Amino acid sequence: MNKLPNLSPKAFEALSAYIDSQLSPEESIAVEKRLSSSVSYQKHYERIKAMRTAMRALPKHKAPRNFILTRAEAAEAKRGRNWSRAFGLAFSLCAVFLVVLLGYDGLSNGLFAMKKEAPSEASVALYTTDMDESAQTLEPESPQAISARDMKDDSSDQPVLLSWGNPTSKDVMAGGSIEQADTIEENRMFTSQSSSSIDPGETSYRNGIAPEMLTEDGLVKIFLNDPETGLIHICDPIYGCGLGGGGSVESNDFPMTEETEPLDIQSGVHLVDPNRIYYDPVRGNYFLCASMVSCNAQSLVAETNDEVQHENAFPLILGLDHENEGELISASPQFTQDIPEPETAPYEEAYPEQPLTGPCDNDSDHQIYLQDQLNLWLKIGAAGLAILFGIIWLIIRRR
Amino acid sequence: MDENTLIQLAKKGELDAFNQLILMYQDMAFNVAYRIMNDEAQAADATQDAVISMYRRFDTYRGGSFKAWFMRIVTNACYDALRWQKRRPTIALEPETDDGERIESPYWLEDNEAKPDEELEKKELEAAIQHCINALPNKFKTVFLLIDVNGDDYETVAQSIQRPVGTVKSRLSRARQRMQKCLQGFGELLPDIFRLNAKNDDEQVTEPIP
Repeated sequence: MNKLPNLSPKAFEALSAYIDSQLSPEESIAVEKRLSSSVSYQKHYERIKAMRTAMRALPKHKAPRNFILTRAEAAEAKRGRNWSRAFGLAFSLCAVFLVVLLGYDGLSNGLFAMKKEAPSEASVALYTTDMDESAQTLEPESPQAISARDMKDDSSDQPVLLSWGNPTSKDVMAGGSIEQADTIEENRMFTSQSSSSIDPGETSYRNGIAPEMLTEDGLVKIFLNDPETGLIHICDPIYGCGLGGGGSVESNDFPMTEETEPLDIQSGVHLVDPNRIYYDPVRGNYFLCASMVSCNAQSLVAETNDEVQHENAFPLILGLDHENEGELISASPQFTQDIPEPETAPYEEAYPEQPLTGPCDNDSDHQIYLQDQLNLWLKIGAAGLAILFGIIWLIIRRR
Repeated sequence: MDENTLIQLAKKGELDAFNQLILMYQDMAFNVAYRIMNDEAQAADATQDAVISMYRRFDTYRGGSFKAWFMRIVTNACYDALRWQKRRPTIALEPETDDGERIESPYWLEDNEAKPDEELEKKELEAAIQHCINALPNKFKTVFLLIDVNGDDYETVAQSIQRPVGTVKSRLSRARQRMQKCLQGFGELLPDIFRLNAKNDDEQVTEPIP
């Protein structure tokens, strides 16, 4: 006795649906064609049909009683429905509330992102220029600028030193002599005694500039010390000096334009190494020193009328912003360990700490923190209640 | 009153209209419940639960075949009851062997000598079929009972189970395959027509069935 080969699931399904008249005309034709050609297929057809007939011939179990509802049962059913509705509504409200909270958070973060403070550093202006036919393309940044920035306190608002002009091969006006400070190890200061006025468009250099007065990339600063006023005039090979004639602008506040009047040469022109400039924040004096230990009254480059207090001095890098027509900007003071802190740090003067009036009551950060906490707990509460009501609702529904 | 009118009235809260609808289909519903639960008392409880559930949420009935809706709620009530039973096993109503194993189909152990052969054969067949129905997965069982036992059409069943007609077709086919395979195990208890073994040498088949 051989077993009837099995039908594939697809073939069985087609035959099953054919028996129930659930095939399309084309599918029915295909099945009928196969039925007429395959004995085993026909056997399967008979089996399925017989089983279906037997199923439908099974005795029908009639309801042992009526399942209709009495008035009392109907009222009870409605009461249960009301509870179900109530918890369903509560669940929905909590869920909606949670979604609103989350949505509000999302919108807040997206649209009202916390404002970050603008970088306190001034943008570094890269500068290139051709001073004349023989001028070299300037380095984008002087080593002093780089060193100043590296040593700068990151939290400081002080601008970064910029590069500025290369010295040209122009001759310094004749007649000048090098004046050396006793305590300066190398020749650093030059004084021009020429009576010629200084052309704002170009700056004269004294012959024989000591290499030590130049930066590694050949940059140099020129400071003009006005002994009458004690002010420093910053001169630039490109923009020249500003406020000639003993201008009334104080140091570090020295906008320079191209239209500057010639400076009185009697004031003297000093070529200095900017790395050697030390600033006394107490007195506002500038010293040109080989190092702190070699700073004394003779090192004074520019002074106020007050007594010199060089022990409070610290190195100061000065530069000119050529992007802003030579406006003077300064790098941060560079504190070293052996330099005592000034009595009044410039930053602290500029940004005095605001005393709190109470235990963080007026602290806006704390207010924000409290708000965030409230928001978080509201979300947790809404989620928890939604889950609780949802579970109760499902249980009631199933009863 | 016709069915649609009764439905409209029941939606408005008329209890009598609702009860009329129940009376129209309660036998069919109970029969399906019985085939699922395999126990008259449990089937009655499931049917009653289904009726209460229907009354409670009658306003959610969106039209279509009322019979399909009734069958769906009844089958769901039955499966819920079966799940509850699984979590809370009750004392078996079926007799057990000395080892504590349930005898699933005790019918064959009954003393049937007094019953006519034809009736006996019918009982044996019903028991075998019920045994195989019990073994079907729920989703196949529902479709199989509604179509092959209840006699519903594919569209009505599709509404009941809320699936496309193609799904109904597929599930029914697989249910029938399983039923055939299960029924083979009863061998001589079954009429010849259910046996897939070839009876005579004439029925040898050699061609493959793709």
